[in-house]
Amino acid sequence: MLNAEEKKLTKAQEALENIEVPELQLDEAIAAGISKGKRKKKQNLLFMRTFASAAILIFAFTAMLRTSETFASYVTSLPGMEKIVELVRFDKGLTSAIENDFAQKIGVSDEHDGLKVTLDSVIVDEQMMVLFYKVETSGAHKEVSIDKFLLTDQEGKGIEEIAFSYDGWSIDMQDKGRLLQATFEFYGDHRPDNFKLSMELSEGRTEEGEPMNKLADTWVIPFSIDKDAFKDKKETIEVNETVEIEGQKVTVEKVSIYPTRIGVTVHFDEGNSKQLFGFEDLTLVDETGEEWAAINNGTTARHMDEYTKEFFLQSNFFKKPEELYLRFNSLRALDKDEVEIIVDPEKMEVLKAPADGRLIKVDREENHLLFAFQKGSREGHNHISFEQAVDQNGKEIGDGSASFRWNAESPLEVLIPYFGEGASPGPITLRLNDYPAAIKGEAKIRLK
Amino acid sequence: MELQELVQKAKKGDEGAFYELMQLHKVRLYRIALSYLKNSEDAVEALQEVTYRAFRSIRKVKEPQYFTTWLTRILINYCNDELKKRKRLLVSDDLISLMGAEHQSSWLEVEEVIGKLDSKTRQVIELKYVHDFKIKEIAEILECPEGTVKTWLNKGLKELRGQLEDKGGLGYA
Repeated sequence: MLNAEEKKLTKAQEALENIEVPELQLDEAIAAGISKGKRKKKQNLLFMRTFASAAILIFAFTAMLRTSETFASYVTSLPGMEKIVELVRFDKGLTSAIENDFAQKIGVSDEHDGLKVTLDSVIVDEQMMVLFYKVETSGAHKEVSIDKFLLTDQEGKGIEEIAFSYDGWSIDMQDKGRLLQATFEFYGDHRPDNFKLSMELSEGRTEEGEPMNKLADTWVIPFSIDKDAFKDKKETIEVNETVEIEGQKVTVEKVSIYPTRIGVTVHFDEGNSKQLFGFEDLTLVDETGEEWAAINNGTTARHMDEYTKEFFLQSNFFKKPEELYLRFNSLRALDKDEVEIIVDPEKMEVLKAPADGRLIKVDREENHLLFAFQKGSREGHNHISFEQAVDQNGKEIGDGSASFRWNAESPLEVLIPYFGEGASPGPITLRLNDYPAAIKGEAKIRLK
Repeated sequence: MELQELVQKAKKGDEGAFYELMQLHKVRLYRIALSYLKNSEDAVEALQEVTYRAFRSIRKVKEPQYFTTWLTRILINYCNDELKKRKRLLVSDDLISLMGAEHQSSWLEVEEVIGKLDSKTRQVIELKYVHDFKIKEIAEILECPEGTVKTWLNKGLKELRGQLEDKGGLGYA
């Protein structure tokens, strides 16, 4: 039995239920909400796994934000190469490699279960192999992802790599003929003539990155490359020049020029008061003022040892400039006593962090420890990374993975697995590998 | 398909299941948003924003049976933030004009009396009687013990009775 006041309230309910519902608008709102969610997810969540050896590599993923239309336009007329040019247009070196007919056409396919994988072509030199491939469907597949991507020699024996990255986290089958790119950086001297590319695919993928419906087949593509095409395609310049930026000594040891990239080996003096992470604006300039910038989509640097790093620039191998200068005015650096972040995960307290206050929050999200950093700029690269976290006994925490998340409005959030069973008690320490704090000066070194 | 099954699938990233879940909840969410924001345009926008937020964090739903209250909580948090942004409550005619003439007076009467309650009590009363949630569900939405919800409800009903008696309208309810 309802009281009188409850009855009144029930009348209000009736009144509200009597209102006509704008079905169409609601459906549009739901669709818009989902598509916004998907967009955010794809653009801003970067999952990075840094195994012990991979901590020596630094990657960048900013290229898509800053593609240059100008130098793409003059090569898009190369027949059959339009799609590849589109992929590499933010890299002058790879664009020029295609222009100079350095890409090797492969055109081998394998098809199972209504899904056809084709290796279209490769750009290969002594340093690395860039593979261009596509996945197409004749059937009802909607979204496919590549679970496993393996490059071996003909017998299936692995080839040692420094780094290997491939595209295919989520391939929309509506997007017909879309080319994807993989980059395999060679380690050691083994470069077989005959390769085998093997892929395992699944349909759909959860937010955590788990395959939803793994397909039973393996797609196998055997192919051969012409090694003579890149034989002797290398130029090394010994430099050994030291410059000082805000009192920090930086020695450029040598510059190695390959068709796919240019490596600049740099030694930071052991006696420097700051830890130097990398360059903001390392650039090559020729006699006409043309510039070649750092690689901005892929491996940007690797550590040779604690003080020596090799930085990668876009290649001008095919340009053969008469004069060549190496220029830089700014490096990212932190005082050596500031390179550690120490937090107490129980109290969510920051015990130690760089003094600039960029670390604004430490928090728990599910079983992850979340670090929120104020960004240097609204868009683009955030230049924050650290080595695998360790507990107070120096024991490594988590599986070496870290997720990065950001958008224009929010701070950069880095998540590392921590909580859950067997979580070692704090405090825990993270050593910074990169950080957006800079020292400035001027340096121009003549190479040629 | 069972609601729980849909939630499980949506958690695993099944977009179709998530869409289905939103379809099942859209009318109720729209009406709740209407009662907070008082106009249809803002209520539609609320649904879009709630869809987006829910899509982004559905994997955080621990127990599928809490999906409905979880979704409602997202909506109410959104609405409360929106209202805060507006600084003061505008009495909008939009909601009233959407109602049939025969309902307008009873809605206005209720609005007038529950508008005098403090916001927490009002929220509980509305969820229970206007939006038809069970006490257990209200406790989940507001993330507080059921006992607390009951206390607020009793307090609210008592205040309402007092007000209605003052107006002398009780006998004719």
